[in-house]
Amino acid sequence: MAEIVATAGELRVTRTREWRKMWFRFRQSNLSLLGFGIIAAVILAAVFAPQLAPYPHHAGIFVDFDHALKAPSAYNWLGTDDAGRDILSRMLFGARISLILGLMVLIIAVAVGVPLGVVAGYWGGRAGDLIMRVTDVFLAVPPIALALAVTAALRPTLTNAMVAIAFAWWPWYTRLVYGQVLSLKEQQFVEASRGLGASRWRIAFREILPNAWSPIIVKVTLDMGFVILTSSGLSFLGLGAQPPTPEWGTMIAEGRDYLPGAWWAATFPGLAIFLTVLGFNLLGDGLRDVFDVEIEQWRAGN
Amino acid sequence: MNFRTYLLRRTLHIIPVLFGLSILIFVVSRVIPGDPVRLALGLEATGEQVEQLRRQMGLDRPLVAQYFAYFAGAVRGDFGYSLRTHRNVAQDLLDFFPATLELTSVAMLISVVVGVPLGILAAVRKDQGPDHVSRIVALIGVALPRFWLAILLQLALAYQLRLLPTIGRGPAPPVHVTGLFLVDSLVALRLDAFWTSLKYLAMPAFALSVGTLAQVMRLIRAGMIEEMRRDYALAARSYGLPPNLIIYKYLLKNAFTATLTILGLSYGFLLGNAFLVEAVFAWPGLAFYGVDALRYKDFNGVIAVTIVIGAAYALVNLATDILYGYVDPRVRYE
Repeated sequence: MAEIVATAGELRVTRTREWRKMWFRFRQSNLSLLGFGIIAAVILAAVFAPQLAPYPHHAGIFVDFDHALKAPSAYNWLGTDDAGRDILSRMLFGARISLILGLMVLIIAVAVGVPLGVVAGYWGGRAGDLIMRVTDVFLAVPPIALALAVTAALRPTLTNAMVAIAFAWWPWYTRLVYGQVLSLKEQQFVEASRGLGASRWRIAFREILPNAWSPIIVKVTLDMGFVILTSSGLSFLGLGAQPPTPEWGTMIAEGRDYLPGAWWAATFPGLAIFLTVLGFNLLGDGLRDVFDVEIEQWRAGN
Repeated sequence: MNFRTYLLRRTLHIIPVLFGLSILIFVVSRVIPGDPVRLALGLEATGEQVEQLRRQMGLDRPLVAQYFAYFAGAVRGDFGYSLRTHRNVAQDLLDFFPATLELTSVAMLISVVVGVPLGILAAVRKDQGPDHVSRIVALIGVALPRFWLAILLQLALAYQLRLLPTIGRGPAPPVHVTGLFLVDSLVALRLDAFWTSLKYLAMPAFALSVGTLAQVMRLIRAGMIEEMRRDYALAARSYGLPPNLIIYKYLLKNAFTATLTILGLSYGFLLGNAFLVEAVFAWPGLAFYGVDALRYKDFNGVIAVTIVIGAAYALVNLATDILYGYVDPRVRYE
């Protein structure tokens, strides 16, 4: 018996080794590392926005018409907007908004979608059927169109945009987990715990679900980018964050009125969205290779 | 299962989905806070006038009764009265939908016509220059915010180089048959009108297509590489068949079949992103109409736009599935 049961110390060693192996595999791809670097930079920008921003007080309501729409210069590296606010400073604060919004949407989507997927996959039956038919209905329209319809019922604010996107996003997780559970529930370890007399709840949530986490993590990483893309789109249409919030989509919408003269006001915030989405995609691809999972990426996003 | 049964079953499948969607959107839109009717009539309207319009629109009845009245109308093509345009929503849809259909269809066409050859090139030159370029282009294409790309194109091609018109759809061709400007100008045998419409369409359609183009390219590449490894490809090569014949006649056919279903789903992306691209180019389409309806709490407009988008999406998926079932009989049994 003693040879079989690993001590806690040994377990920890194997776990560290497992992590090392994953990191090693992750490092093999330059693109994965690039994604990791971009996302690390975006997170740092979000956390230290007040310290990094040259003009932190420009993030909110601030007006200085003497310096409105100034081209990029040594004082304002990325120029100023129509109210004379420093675009770089606002973009740094915008990273906070996008990251928090993306996280919140995906936390809701996972919290709602994953348990439903487990129930539909493991319990099956009429309840399972009903759940999957409901996801069919939600997936019958592109997420952005559904989110738009929901914002019609709410006032256009950042929080409501978040609610609307989460409302359209959870079925993807139900689908993903449903498929995972269907294939996992036939495996031997499930059979074994059923033989040991474990309850359905225990098998579904303690035995099966932990084995389904890696595709969920990969999808969450990829979706972070797509959720940010969707939310900036909603804000761009004036149905999400409202001025003077330094949300990237809102900034593009504001800057667009001053094209082509003040090209910097609309272009730089877009670059921030692009790089963030690219970063999450690369990171997600890297994680997918490490965890060796296949998910339908072409379906993700808006 | 023969092809006809498959077709019938697949067609019947979309009815409950659209029915469910109509309930979902109806419920969502009826919980709108505030009073859209008062908003539409303006502040000068008396309470009596507001009440009258509410009664006219049936808003004083219970929600379930309202839904069935709406549904009965919708199947006959009556989507109710628009609080924004003060016309029947169905009339508005007829005016706005062709513009979106034209935009998304041309974007799909660009994605396939450009994406397929690039995908083949990347597969044939695997791990060489063209393949690396295609990988980078694909990564960029998927991550680019379409509305931002649209603005960049406007800046470069319209404002700077003055090659293409900045916004709008251009003048309507002299004949109105389908509402699709490209088709109508051809029907009228007016090549000049066709060329003008094409110029207005070029930037929006390209901006919209980029993500789908990237996906098509990568899928064709993956499919081609998979097919190249098969025995039949080896056999064809060993017979000494010309490489181009093998690639275009045998491999591409199989690789494209797998891409087909995904094209149907990508049409959803195009419809979703049309909202953003239409906003940038003031393209008078369904999404443009929908966003306007949203701002004015015109709930009949919002419901109709969502259902039409859902229906268009479902129909395109149905079409690709049917095509798929036709090309590959195995899927009929799934």
